[in-house]
This record gives sequence, structure tokens and C-alpha cells, in this order.
Amino acid sequence: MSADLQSFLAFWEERHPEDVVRIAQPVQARYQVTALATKLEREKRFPILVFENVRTEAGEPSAFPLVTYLMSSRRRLAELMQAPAERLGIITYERSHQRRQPVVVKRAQAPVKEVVARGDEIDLTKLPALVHHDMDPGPYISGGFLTCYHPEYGTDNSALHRGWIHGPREIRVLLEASTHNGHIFALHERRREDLRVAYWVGAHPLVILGCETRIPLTDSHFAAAGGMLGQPLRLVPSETLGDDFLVPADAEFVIEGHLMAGKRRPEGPFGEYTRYSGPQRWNPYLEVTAVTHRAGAHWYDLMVGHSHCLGSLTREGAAYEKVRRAVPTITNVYAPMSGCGQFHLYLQIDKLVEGSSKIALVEALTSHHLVKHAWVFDTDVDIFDEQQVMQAFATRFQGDRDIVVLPGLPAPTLDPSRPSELGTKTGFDCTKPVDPRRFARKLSVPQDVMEKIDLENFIPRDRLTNIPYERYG
Amino acid sequence: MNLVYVNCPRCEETFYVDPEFFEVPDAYCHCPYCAHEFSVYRQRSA
Ligand SMILES: [Zn+2]
Repeated sequence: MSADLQSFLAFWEERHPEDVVRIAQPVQARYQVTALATKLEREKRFPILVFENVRTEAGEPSAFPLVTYLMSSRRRLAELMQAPAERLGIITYERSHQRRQPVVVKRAQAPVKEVVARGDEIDLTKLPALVHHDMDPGPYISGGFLTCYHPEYGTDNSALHRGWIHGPREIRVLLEASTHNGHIFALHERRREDLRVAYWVGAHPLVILGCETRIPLTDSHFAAAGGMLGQPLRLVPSETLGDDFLVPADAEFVIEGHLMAGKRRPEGPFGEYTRYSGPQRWNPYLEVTAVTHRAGAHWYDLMVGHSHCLGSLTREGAAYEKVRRAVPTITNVYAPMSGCGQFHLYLQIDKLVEGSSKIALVEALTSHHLVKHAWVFDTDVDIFDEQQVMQAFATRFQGDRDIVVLPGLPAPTLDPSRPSELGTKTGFDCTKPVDPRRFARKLSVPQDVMEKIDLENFIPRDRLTNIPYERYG
Repeated sequence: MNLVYVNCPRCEETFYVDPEFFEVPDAYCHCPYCAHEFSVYRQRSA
């Protein structure tokens, strides 16, 4: 099967027609798509959304459909990975170590070369890129990978970087110095050289998952994406950046250009994964030299600031691996969306040794700089049920005895409560003592009674569904 | 998060910027509401 966004959509729609929603009604790129996604999120529904008639910021109907919420369903990604949803982070992490070296194809075999625009033919304002939230200054590339090549290692580096489409041929990019792409740009700036880069937008969800994996600078993201996908990524030479600059042949869009050395322009504010707007910054910008796309290309948007699994799966896998080395009886980990998918980790361990729960907390908190708080629970707590999580926190935790505080560590840049570059990581040990006779017994009804009582034998289903649902349970 | 609220002198809408705009001489802010561009260099009150 061809591994691209549109063939995935066709495959998934045939298999799960209920999970792909095509919207033919006209919608505005400014706020309306986000409003619709927000309302679906409140209902906890995350179908793949395909908007077939988007009016751009310029008020024109865009020729390109828009796809969003692709990465927002853990259930969907789990089925795609043939993994239980509760183990998805761990299994994704395991698969992220696999590598398939990419292959290079000729231009004629690359769908992304079906339409090529250079110079004055380029007009980014015709794309259905969204203005997501109030205070965003304009349409943004939110789901595009920015690729460049390391000047010494020659390896490709790809990462999601937000990009404000500022006019027909300019994109202003958030490129933090701590990122690999930021580092490669700094190496070029030191030599007063512009950096050749390409945004590529729209790919198979497993390519997105594989490319988003955190790997060393000496490793190829394209090879990691191939590993996740289970087949090599197909690459093709760029149009304007040289034949040695390879881009994904099966992407929907490729936007080529140069990040200008030593030059900065205002970028942002932008609504971020924290569900707050980050401030405007003085950031580099990209002068676009070519745009290539498929005939009938679909634009891909990542609904930033709303539920998606990209960060959370990576956090879970890395934490699981790190904790497991110290506490082999870790059973699971979850990075809930209530913690922005990044800041919070719920660990579950089979606690055999007193103190191992605190070791697990230290390991989890130091597994990534974005992890801010971690909780550890026993195996009788379903860490995917926040009612159970909070109940265990309420009844198994004492503030003086069960807390781990690690001050003075690098803090997430976009955390609104961050006091400075350094912040505090805190762990909460919500486990019981190892000896069960030192702790109260949890309420239970004998199992045989629970199994024999069928609610619907006493209250028929149609009567049951008429009973008001209690939000404040 | 390091941010400073600013008012656009043209449309008077409020948004926020990184403090670097007050420290870098050639940096200028861009109003996300009306696209007006203006400098706040050394304007920050103590
Ligand atoms: Zn203004």
C-alpha cells in the first residue's frame, strides 16, 4: 500500500466510515475550523476531519481540502499500530528504535512533484492554513515538518516547527536554539550562511509518528519514519535546494526555501500545546523558493492546543524505558491531556520494595525537560481513569512524607507559571505500603455478586438512558 | 513564560511579546489584530 495521507484516508474511510467526517459546507480558515474542533473535543470525539471547502484568510475558496484531527485519537492510532491503546506509548517507543533507510526516486515517480511553482508563481496565501485562535497573527503551518541537513554529519533532521505564513513567499518560524534544527541554523549563522530548509506537509500518520521521535542529531528522522512505517520512506531531490537536498516524495506539499542568516522578524503570538498563547518573538524567517504538491493535494493541520497524541506518546515511551531500568516492576505510564500531554505522567508500578516508588518518580521526572509533575500508583489504580487517579491521590498521599521535589531544573519554555529558565519538578507517591496489613482495605462487593447482578435486568436500557447524566458525580 | 503585555498604538488592542523586544534595538512588534508595526525598545517601565 502506498504510504501517504490520502491513501491512508481512503483505507481508513473504507474500514471505519464513521471515523472520517467530510464537511462540504464552506468554513472560514480564521477561527471556524478551530471552533468546530473545540466543540467536538468537548464531546470527546476525534474523527478525522476533512474540510472540502475552506475560505482562506484572504476570503477566497481554497483549491485544497484541509485535514485535521488525524493524530487526535489514541484509539485510532492504537488500531493502526495493532497495539492496545493503554500500551501505545510503550509500543511506539519500542518501534521508534527500528530503522529503514529511505530510497531515492526520480521526479516522475514522486507525486509531490505533480505541480511545481517557483518564484512569482508561488502564493502561500492560497493554502487553507488556519488562523487557529484569538491573538494568532495570521495563518500558520502547524503540522508541517521542517527539514534541514547537518553540515558535518549530512544527516537529515525533521521536526515540527510552527510557521506563520506572512505573505505569498515568507514564513516566520519558531526555531528555539535548544532544538536540533535551531542548532543546525546556529552553525550556519556562525558562518553567515543561509540554511536550506523545506517544510513538508501531509503524510501517513505513522510517518508523522516516526519523524516526531526524539533521536540523536547523528540519526536520520527519515530512517526512523521508515522504521515506524515498516517500509522505506521515498525521497526525491528538491527543486531549488540542490539534488543533495532530499524531500519526501509522497508528501502532500513541499515548501522549499532558505532561513535567512542573521535576520529576524516578529513571529507569534501563537496558541500552543499548553492551551495558552505563547508571546510574540523575534524569530528567523524563511524566503520560499519553490512549492511543489500533488494534484489534488490535501493540506494538513495539527490542531495545536487541543487533544493530540504526538507529545504524549513520546513522553510515555521515554519515561517507561527510563523508569524500567531502575524499577523493573513498572507496569504502565500515561501522559494525560489534562497535563497538556507533556507536563504530567501517571506511573503504575507493582511495588515490591519500599522506596522504589520514589525512585520511579525521580526517573520519570528526569526523563524529559517537559515533564513537570509525576504521580506513581499501585496496580489497582486505572491510570487512564482520572477519577481513580485523584481518589488514590486523596487517600494514599501525605504531603510531608510522599513528595519528591527537584528544584532548579530546566523548565518548559511555554509553561505560563515558569519563574525563570529553571523550575521545579515535583513527584507524588500515591502508593500504599508494601505490607498490605499496614493499609486499609479498599471497598469492594464480593466478585460473584458483581458478576451475577445485571443492571438491565432491574432497569431496562431505554429507562436507563432516560435517567439524567450527572456531571458532578 | 516570559511575556510583557503591549498595546497597539494604532488599534489599541492588547497582545503580548517576549521581553527581548524591549532590549533589541532593531526589533519591532507586529500587532496581530491590525498588522501595525511599532518599536517598544527601551520603553519598558521598571
Ligand atoms: Zn493594532
